[in-house]
Amino acid sequence: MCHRLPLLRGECQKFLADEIVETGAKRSFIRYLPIGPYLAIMPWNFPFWQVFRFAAPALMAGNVGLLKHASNVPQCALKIEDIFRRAGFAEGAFQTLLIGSGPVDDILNDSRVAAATLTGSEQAGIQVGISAAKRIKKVVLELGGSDPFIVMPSADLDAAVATAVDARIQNNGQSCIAAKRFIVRRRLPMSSSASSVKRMQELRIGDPFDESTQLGPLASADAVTSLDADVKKLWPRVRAC
Amino acid sequence: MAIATINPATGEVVKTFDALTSLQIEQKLQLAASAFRTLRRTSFAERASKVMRAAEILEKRKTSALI
Repeated sequence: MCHRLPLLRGECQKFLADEIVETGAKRSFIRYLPIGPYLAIMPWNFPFWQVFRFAAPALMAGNVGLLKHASNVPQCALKIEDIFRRAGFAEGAFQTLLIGSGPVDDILNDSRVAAATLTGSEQAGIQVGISAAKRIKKVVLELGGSDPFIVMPSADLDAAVATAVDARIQNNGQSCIAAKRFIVRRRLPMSSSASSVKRMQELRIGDPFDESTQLGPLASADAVTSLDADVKKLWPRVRAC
Repeated sequence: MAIATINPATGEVVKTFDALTSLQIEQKLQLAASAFRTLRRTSFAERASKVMRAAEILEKRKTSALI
C-alpha cells in the first residue's frame, strides 16, 4: 500500500491540473477545486487500504475526511486518524467517527457534508446512494461483486485449478474482487475436479499470525453462520451435478 | 452491531467503544467544516507531501503490529 501512494500522487496531480478549453474567449479552462468534508463508509476486509485508497487522493485534492469505518475495526479507524495527524494534517482534516449506521442519513443531510463514498454491499450502497441523491450530493460507490473465473477449452488445467483456488481464497475469500463464479467452458476430466477439491481440502487452516497458515478465521461469527447456511442450502444441488 | 474489537478466532472481546453522541458528532462536523476552510487554501504540494509522510509512517511500521 505504501508504495502505491507516491504513484497516486502523480496521478492526482494530473487529474487536478487545469484543463484548457478552446473557446471564443481569450482564455478558458476547467479548474478542479475541493468541495468540502465528505463521509466515507468503509469495510473491514482491508481495513487500512480501503481507507487510504480514498483518503489519500481526497486529501491531496483538499477535501476533508470523515470516516465511518466498519464496527469491527474501530482501532484501525482510530489508528488511521492518528497517522494523518502525525503526518502533519491539521486537526479536523481527517476524523474517525465511531458510530453505527443509524446517524449516517442525518450526517449526509448536513449542509457541511459535501459528498459521500462507500465501499461495501449493494444494499448499503443503495441506501447511501439514495441519501446522497436526495440532497443532490456526489457519491462514489464501490459495491459487489461476483467476479467470474472462466476456464476456456484451451486452458492449462493444472494452472487453472491452482489459480482458481488462490483466486477464491485470497484474503480468506473476503475480497470484493475474489473469483466467485467458476464457469468452465469445457467438460472437466474427473481428475481436475478432484484435484481442485483436494487442493481446497489441503489448505492449512490456522492462526493468521502463523506464516504457514493459508486460511485464517473469517472476520466474524456472523460470517461463519451465514456462509455455513449458504453451503447447506446449495449442497443438495451440488451433489446432484 | 457493537463497535468493538473481537478476536474472530476465539470470540474474545478485546475492547469495546461507545458510539459518539449527537453532540460529539456535531462537534466533529464543526471541526471538519473549519478544517476545510484552511485546507482548501493550501497548495497541492503541501497536501501531497503530508500524504507521502503518512506513507512513510506506514512503511516504517509495516512489519510491526504497533504502528
